[in-house]
Amino acid sequence: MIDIFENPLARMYGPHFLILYISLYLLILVVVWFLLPIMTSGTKLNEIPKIPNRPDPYELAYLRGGEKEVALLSIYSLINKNFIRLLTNNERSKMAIVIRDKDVNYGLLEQSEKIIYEAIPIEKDIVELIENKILMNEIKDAMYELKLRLVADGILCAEKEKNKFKYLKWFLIALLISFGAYKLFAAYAHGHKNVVLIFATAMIGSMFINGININEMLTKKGKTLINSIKNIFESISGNSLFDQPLYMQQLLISLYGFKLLKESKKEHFYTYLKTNISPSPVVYFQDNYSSNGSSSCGGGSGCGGGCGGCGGCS
Amino acid sequence: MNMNFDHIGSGIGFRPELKSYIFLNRDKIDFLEIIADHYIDVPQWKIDELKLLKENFILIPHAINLSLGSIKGIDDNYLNKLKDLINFINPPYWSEHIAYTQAHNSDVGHLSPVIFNNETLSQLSENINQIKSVIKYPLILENITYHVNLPGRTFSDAEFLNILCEKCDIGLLLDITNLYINSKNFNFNPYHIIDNLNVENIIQLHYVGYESHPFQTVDTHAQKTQNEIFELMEYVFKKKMPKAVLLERDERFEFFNEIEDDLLRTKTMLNQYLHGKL
Repeated sequence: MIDIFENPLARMYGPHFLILYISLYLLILVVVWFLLPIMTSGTKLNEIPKIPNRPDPYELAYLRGGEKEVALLSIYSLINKNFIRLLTNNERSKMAIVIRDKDVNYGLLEQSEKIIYEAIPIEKDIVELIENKILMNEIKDAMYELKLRLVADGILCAEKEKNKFKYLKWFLIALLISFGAYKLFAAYAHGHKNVVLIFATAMIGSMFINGININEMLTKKGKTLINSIKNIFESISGNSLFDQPLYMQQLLISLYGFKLLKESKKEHFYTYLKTNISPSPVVYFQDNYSSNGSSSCGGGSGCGGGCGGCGGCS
Repeated sequence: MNMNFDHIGSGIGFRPELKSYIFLNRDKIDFLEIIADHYIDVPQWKIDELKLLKENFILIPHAINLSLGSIKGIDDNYLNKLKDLINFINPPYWSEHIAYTQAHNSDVGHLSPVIFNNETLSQLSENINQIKSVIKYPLILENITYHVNLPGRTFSDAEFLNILCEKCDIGLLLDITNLYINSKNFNFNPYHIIDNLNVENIIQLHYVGYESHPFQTVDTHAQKTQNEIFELMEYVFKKKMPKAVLLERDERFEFFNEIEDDLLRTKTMLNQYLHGKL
């Protein structure tokens, strides 16, 4: 009978095996981090997207920061459409919005604006509004069709691509653990008990790799689309925001965030958001008010997307 | 040269300052004309800009520095770069000016008029043949403004343009604003020139508003197009529908409503005449 623990690998000197094992771990890490998102991509690597005739600010806000950005843009729009009014307090931490007019022409409102509007009984603090999970879920539902369309258009990664990535990742983790386990048993078979480092490397390494998720990342086409739209509108972002029609204000804010309000007559709104609203857990592309200095690499565990580290599903 | 392609419509000269407005008003813009020289020997971001434009619009390259009227011939290096650019864009045709921009190896700095005589025709013909041997896309040439009536002229404007197009097998980019400005400055009837032009050569029109000064009319590319120019445009339309009509605005971009009005008026007129004729 062949002894499976009698070969150069099983007999390898512990520290040497550890070096080999860590090398394997790093290789898998590189593969998962950089290569897998590319491998799991569709066939749209070099596709240059058509720019929509009239880019939808809410679509861009959603891509930039999920429901939270949509909600904030809706608040901004409702203020500008005179549906609600900002009650500013001298204390920056308190900024409430009130309904301005009871006779509302809902035809003038986008869906997310309606949701926000209806969620304000008489007066509500913005933070309270944004942190209301039910409200955010309502906006999420309202955005569901948009999300499906973005996936169908190849702007956001499709579910099957994410699954492909997940299964390949788990396969590589299983490979890493099996390899470590084999050496662990071999070491025991040869009477060695100092296997803590192998065990620790396998566990910590696996957990770290498992933490890498592609979540709902922009595809390469999506990134190109966003960059192209930014490229097109950057020439007017330098002009006074308030000289622009509301659509253009919405568009610029959806692309560059509320930091555009800095040093303007509405700077207090920007300061308030920056101070009181936590970064969006979903960030597909950067440039929002929370991105100065801190990396908004959300998405729960690991690298949610847009943080540049884990590529994209292309 | 084969100019058998569909009507392209109404366009505008691409200028970076207009980028956002151009994309937001795509329903009014059928094509863009790009200054070829703005995309030769440029950094990657300009190439990316060109790709973006190409993906979203029909592009017509408009060269400004071949210096067709130069005796020294065409700069091969520049010509090859231009060829690469035009090949990348893959346009229905491309355009240049009937002018020279270089003399004695120096850059003149602007488009200078040539003398309308046989010698110039030969020189132009030689240079155009050199260009056509390298760039296979159809070429059309634009008439420019002149501020002095150069001595030695033996042909009228219309005669010269007709002979040049026939001799070199090229199309005409008739700049109706340039024609109007020349007519004002040298006191002739622009309609008479159009009557004497072989209108079959007209492939594209350029237009924009002019600026009137006490003793001169100037082509500043900065004004809203005046009625006189639109009347001239309509006169051309009645004789022959060009494949494309382009607004060539270079300044005062902040008055986009003027640009929008010009584009809309042209498009409306173009549709009216095209549908009337089709």
